[in-house]
Amino acid sequence: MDEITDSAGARLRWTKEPPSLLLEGPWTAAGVKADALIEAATRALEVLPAGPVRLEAAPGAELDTVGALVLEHLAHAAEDHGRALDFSALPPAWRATLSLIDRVAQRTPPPEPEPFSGFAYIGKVAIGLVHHYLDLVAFIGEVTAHLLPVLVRPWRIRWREVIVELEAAGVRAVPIVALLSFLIGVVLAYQAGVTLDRFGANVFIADMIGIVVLREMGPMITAIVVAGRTGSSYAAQLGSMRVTQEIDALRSLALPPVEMLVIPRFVALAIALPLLTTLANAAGLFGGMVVATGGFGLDWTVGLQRLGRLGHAHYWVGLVKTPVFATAIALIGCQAGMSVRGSALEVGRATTSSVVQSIFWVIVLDAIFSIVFRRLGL
Amino acid sequence: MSEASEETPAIEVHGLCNRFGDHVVHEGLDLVVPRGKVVSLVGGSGSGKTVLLNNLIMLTRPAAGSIRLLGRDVASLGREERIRLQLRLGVMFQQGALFTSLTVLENVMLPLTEHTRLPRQLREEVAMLKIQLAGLDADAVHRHPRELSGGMTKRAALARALALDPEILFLDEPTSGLDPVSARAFDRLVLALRDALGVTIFQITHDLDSIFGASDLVVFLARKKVLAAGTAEELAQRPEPELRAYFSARAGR
Ligand SMILES: Nc1ncnc2c1ncn2[C@@H]1O[C@H](COP(=O)(O)OP(=O)(O)O)[C@@H](O)[C@H]1O
Ligand SMILES: [Mg+2]
Repeated sequence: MDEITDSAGARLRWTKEPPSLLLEGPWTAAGVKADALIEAATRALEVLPAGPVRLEAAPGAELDTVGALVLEHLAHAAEDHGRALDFSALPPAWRATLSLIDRVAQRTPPPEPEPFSGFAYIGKVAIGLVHHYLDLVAFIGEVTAHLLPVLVRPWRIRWREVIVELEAAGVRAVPIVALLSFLIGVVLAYQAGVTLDRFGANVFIADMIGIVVLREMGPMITAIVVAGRTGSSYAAQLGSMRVTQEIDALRSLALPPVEMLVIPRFVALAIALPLLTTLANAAGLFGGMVVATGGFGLDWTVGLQRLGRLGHAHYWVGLVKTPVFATAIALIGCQAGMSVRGSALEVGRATTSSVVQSIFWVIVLDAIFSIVFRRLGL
Repeated sequence: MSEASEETPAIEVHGLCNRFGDHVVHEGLDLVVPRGKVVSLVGGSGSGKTVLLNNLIMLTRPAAGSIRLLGRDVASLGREERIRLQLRLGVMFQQGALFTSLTVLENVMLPLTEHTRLPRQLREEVAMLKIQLAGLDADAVHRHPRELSGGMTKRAALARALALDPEILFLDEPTSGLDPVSARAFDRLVLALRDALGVTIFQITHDLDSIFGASDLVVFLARKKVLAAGTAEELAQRPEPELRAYFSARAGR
């Protein structure tokens, strides 16, 4: 009797007379080293005399489906060497497990579907983009179709939902918007101050902050914060409602989801964003003035006079952009949510994409506004 | 495995208590599940079946009482031993709980990849075996969970629960949401697994056909404990009002 111990777990011994293989130890997922065992068995078969080789289970040996699969590989390897293995002396439970595997038709997974080649991938992405923008345009159309009737009859808007969304998108954003704008004002005043100080033109710090904050920074920072906070939450809320089939349920109850869910969010954002921007303007100007007076010796009264002389146009030029930003953020967020198909994984993807897209569009729209205002001489 | 451990019951629960705040779900619950049997846990909604299952699969700890799984006292286990015991249990959750970012094949292979050192080809073979044992078509293996029907999801979840050849298989409402034909096929599958692999199966079910047609032992949960345990026919004859109400639903059909 010879022993082959190729792994700490499953072991194989052979006996020449009668030719047999003794299986020892755990022939289990944790115990088998398939390649070593098959190699050991092949070597054993070379020395065993001709005739069928009987398999026997040692006392205490175990077999699970992994071990059974390995035994079957062993039988195939033996066949390749013109030898047959005889399973009949194995315990009934082992034979039951072996016959269980026998019944399974397909052993190897079918080939995976072809991944896209580089060229096809570009095409797929391009088509995806086209579809995405077609969907977005269709969505804008659908929202407009629902929006126009309620704008003529504002009492038809679901004001309860609007109020709820106003609190989430507006009131709760106050601290972060105010703090960020204040800090932006501080940074701007420092940068302007260092240069203007050299020319003794400190009074113009106030002019500079006033123009930059009111026209650009206030509306932009607010829109970007809101895109990250609220646009993403719209996408996540509507997306998970699609996954749980709540949107389908609304449709089946003849309650248009756009009217129930999208319009209130859109209206809330269109109200909240100008108000938040005004707050951001105030905080930004205050931050700038704190630095101008504290760091560059500007007199508070003089500074406020300079700001006062700037004229209201800058404020309105900044503010007129905000409903457009609000529209872009609400539409992109809601459309991303409504476009979710299938699993919760999609919700995460939609949320991320809504944030990236709405920030992108806020900046693009701002650039377009700058060009238009320049042409108009505002 | 030694002869002695074969004889210890698969599950032994003694004096189990569970409460949430002052809401007592179980009080002094005792339960013994023999090896190699199909055991159905039944009881009204809110009777604490899921809470008990979560105790048994070691997701939650009971407030009091002892649980022995495969002869090991769950509370006394160290981290390593606990993991080793967990690998001897398979769980199929009610909604399947397949990982959405993975295909069916990857879902079934995950436990094999993480917990065994088998070569990739053998892992794939084992996964294919379990997938087909669970009655799922080999063509479905590269699909993602969202592309599966309800019945296919259950089968894929069963295949993953079977991946590591568990000694106890826990099933939470395996036939709910299936059509009657698929549900009976699932029952036959459960019995075949018991016979071929000697697995102990512990299932929560409301399906009277599974209870009568495919259970060796039925455990009835009521009054915060196991009110009765026996064959379905025995339980249907019991005088307790809860049992009469539950089983008269069948007579009324
Ligand atoms: N996490 C929890 N917090 C509070 N109460 C719970 C919690 N989980 C379950 N319960 C309560 O425990 C009871 C049993 O619940 P469960 O086991 O889910 O019932 P079922 O038998 O229908 O599966 C219910 O009354 C439920 O309200
Ligand atoms: Mg439950």
